[in-house]
Amino acid sequence: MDMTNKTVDIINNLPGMLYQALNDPPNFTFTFVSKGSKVLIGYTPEELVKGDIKLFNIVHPDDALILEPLHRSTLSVGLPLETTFRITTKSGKEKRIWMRSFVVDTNDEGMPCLIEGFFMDLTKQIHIETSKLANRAKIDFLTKMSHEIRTPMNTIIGMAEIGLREDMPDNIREYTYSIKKAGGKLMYVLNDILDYTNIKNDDPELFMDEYTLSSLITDVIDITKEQMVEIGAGLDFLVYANSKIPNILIGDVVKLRQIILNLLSNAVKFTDEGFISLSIDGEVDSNALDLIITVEDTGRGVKEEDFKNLYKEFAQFDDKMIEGTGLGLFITHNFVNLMGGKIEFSSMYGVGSIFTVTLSQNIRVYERLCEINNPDQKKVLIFEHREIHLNSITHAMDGFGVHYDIVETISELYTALESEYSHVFITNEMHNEFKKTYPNFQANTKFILITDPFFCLTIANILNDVDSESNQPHHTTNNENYAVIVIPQVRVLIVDDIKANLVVAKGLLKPYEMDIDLCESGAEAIEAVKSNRYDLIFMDHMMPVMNGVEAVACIRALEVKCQTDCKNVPIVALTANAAHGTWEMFYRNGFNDFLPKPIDTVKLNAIIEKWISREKQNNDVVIIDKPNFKINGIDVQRGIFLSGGRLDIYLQVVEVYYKDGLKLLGELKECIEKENIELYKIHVHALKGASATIGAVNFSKFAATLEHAAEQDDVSFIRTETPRFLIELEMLLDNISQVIIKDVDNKNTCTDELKLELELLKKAISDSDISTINECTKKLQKYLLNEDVGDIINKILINKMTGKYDIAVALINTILEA
Amino acid sequence: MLSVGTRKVIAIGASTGGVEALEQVLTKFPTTVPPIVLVIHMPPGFTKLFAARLNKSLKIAVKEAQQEDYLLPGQVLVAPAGKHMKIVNLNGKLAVDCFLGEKVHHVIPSVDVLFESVAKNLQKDAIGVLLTGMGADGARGLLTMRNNGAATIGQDKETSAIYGMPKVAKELGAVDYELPLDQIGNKILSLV
Repeated sequence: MDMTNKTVDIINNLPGMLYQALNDPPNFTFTFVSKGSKVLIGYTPEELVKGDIKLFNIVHPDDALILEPLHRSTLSVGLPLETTFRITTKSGKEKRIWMRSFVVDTNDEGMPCLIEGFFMDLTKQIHIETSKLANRAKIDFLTKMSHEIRTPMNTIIGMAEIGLREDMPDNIREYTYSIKKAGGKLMYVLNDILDYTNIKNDDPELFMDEYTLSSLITDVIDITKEQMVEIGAGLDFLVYANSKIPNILIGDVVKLRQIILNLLSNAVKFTDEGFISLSIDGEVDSNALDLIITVEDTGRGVKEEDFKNLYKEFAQFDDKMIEGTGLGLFITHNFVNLMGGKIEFSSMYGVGSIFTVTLSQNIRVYERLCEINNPDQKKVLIFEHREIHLNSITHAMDGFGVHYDIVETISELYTALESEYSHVFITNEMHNEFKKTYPNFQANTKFILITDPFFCLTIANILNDVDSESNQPHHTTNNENYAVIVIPQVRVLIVDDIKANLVVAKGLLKPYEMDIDLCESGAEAIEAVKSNRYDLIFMDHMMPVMNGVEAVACIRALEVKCQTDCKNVPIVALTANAAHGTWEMFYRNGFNDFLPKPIDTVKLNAIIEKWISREKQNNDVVIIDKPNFKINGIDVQRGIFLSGGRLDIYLQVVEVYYKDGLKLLGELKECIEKENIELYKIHVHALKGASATIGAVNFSKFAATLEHAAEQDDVSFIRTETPRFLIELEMLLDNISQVIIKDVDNKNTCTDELKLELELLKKAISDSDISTINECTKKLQKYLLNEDVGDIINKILINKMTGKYDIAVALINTILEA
Repeated sequence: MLSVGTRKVIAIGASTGGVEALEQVLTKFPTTVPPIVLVIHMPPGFTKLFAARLNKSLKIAVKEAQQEDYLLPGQVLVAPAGKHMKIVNLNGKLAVDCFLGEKVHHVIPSVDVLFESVAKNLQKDAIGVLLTGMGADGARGLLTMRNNGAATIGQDKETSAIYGMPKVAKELGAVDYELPLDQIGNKILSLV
């Protein structure tokens, strides 16, 4: 070849291989090969040009078969040839080569005699393509598997949950609880695996939304407390939170929760004595909050040589006996980086560890994490001898600007209480001591037992008297330590093709006491929506025939003919498909929100509160009747709620209870005498239910213990406890009788008598004669059951009670002038 | 009302290997033991963890010292990492002063700072104990205490994780009793 030195250099530096060869099939004798051949196929140009190694020596036999006809149809007739084939390098490695060859010279007969061309390594390209495909397949597989696992998990956890809300023997309760707990653990593992896979596939994204920091903190605390109970190490749990930082932020709260939970969970797992602590602080920087989250523990710590492996996947040091996937810190580290934050770690082997996460979140509303209403009206006394706990409490109190004093002994406390304090924060131990030492102590001060953790949010709830707010809707608490709103006026539709899921969902919604309709298909759902007005719809998104997305589209399209607000009804997707990208898809397709399966009761509650409250703002608020009387031993408000919010219905129920109760007094005595435990159990079971319905909660619990004893044939317990039980029942019935009329016949309007009473009341009001007012009130109570005037009498008494005398008098006049 | 015996305060210093050593020394102490003040070299934030952990596992109380904490029997005050701690007289009672300052022997808190203040305030009514650790912090302070009449103990070579601080102390002539770790606790109690 005729080439200058410069050209030769350039050619030899090319990646790949440039060649010239004779067109003498099957040899294709090389006349020139660039130096790149060594890297590409392992042979030097000398080895190839000398003739020892021929092209077909290294081409894969299968590909060689194709090259032959290709050559004939292209190069042999003067056309260029571009193709790929596999070769085996000198060291035995297989590579895929791309080749372009063309004819450069012909002989005297015009037949191509010299070809030149270029070889290039395609192996990497192919690799990338196939691994992309493989990844796609992997992701699809995982998504499907995730769904396949979550759906039955929903049944396991959900059924266990609703099962636990029913009555059952203690041993069955234990088994059921174990099922629920194991199911929960399995979900943790599954979620870890999914997150890990997302990270490995470079998939994780941040889903930004508004969230409430106080809820997040409460969440992680609750979950951590549960873990601590399970592990049972007897650790202290301390929390410090800066009450002045903004509460409503924007960020990916799911990932943030996971970050904090992973750190706390590790702290719990690796600490066998001492404490774990969570500290939340931050600094506002224009519209962002620089959060500083610190988790400390007095655990075994990490050896210095293990520091570098801390964030690696599957990292577990020391004991392989510690539960967990080993993915926690890997995921945490990744998520923190994703958020543009930093995580720092220090540890002393044998002393403990400190993790600090710093990251920024945008501020949505400049509202503080928590504040005390009327702080100058509160004065607190603190009696906590444990140093680190005391520090945490004073830290919170200092942030509130509420006056507080610290005492260190029982007698100091007693002396201090000679001044006015609104609250005393005291440990259970010391409280008992105090009661023993000063049994006759009376004061207006509220004694508050210090729980673990005791920090600004806990204290704010206490000092703000959150629980006794009488304007709030009635709250009941279930096992999950959050308040469930009782909303019997709300109507809900649940759509899922799997019956078990419907049962679970309905069961989980039971405490809300809503009206629930069930549908097994999208088509059914559309029909239901046409005829009924729903406040909320839960729709499974994977259903045969018509899936959730299609169903929603149809429902939204109904709006024109729809009388029932199809356009605006909130629809929540129920999905076992936890792959992150799908959430956006739901929003795009007309869903308002989503709830992953297995259904988490805390998330469910959040969704209901979010969508139902908003709903209510557009509706007429249903008035829940307030009672104007009290019955000792009965939570009347609760009873009214269980009667659908209606006082008149409640009174009827109570009346029935009264009559039945009187009968049962005698029958129970007889059962004891005749030792008829079977019948006893039946009666006591009935009493248990009926007492709960009217709001006699404690008495119902008492009945429950007796029912249990009857089941266990524990005759001695029954003998010992029944006399007291019967006395309590008598007292309860007596209390009831003072309020409710016994004589059913008196439902007739005693107009004259009533009018007289009303006149008396009217006069007493204008005279401000309190004692007469009270007397009249008592007498008027018997008219509450009256069909005609009961309602108005109730309103009169309520207004009188709340001091709205003008209205009360006006109402009185309506009867007097009727 | 401090302890009945003649020795009123026990001052201890430790560094590398001190975590394990201290637990051994303090484990048998009854709640009637005189007040103990302790400096152990640790990174910031860890003295709090250390104190809490020890507090749970020992009979006596252990807490990270706070400014103006009084010395009480049956209680160990641990100097907070990042601050020096010294004994002061506060309203006629012994208390601690925790303050920021220059590092001494490249450390803060420094055992020397503590020991010097104990020597000054208590003279012969104290016991000084220097345990395992790298460097020389505490050696001079222990000598001052001894020269003022205090009883002094140094951990021996065999049982020390690092025979640094106690070695320097011994070479200075600051140590009355050089003992293996398992005998130090009893010795202190016998001296009280």
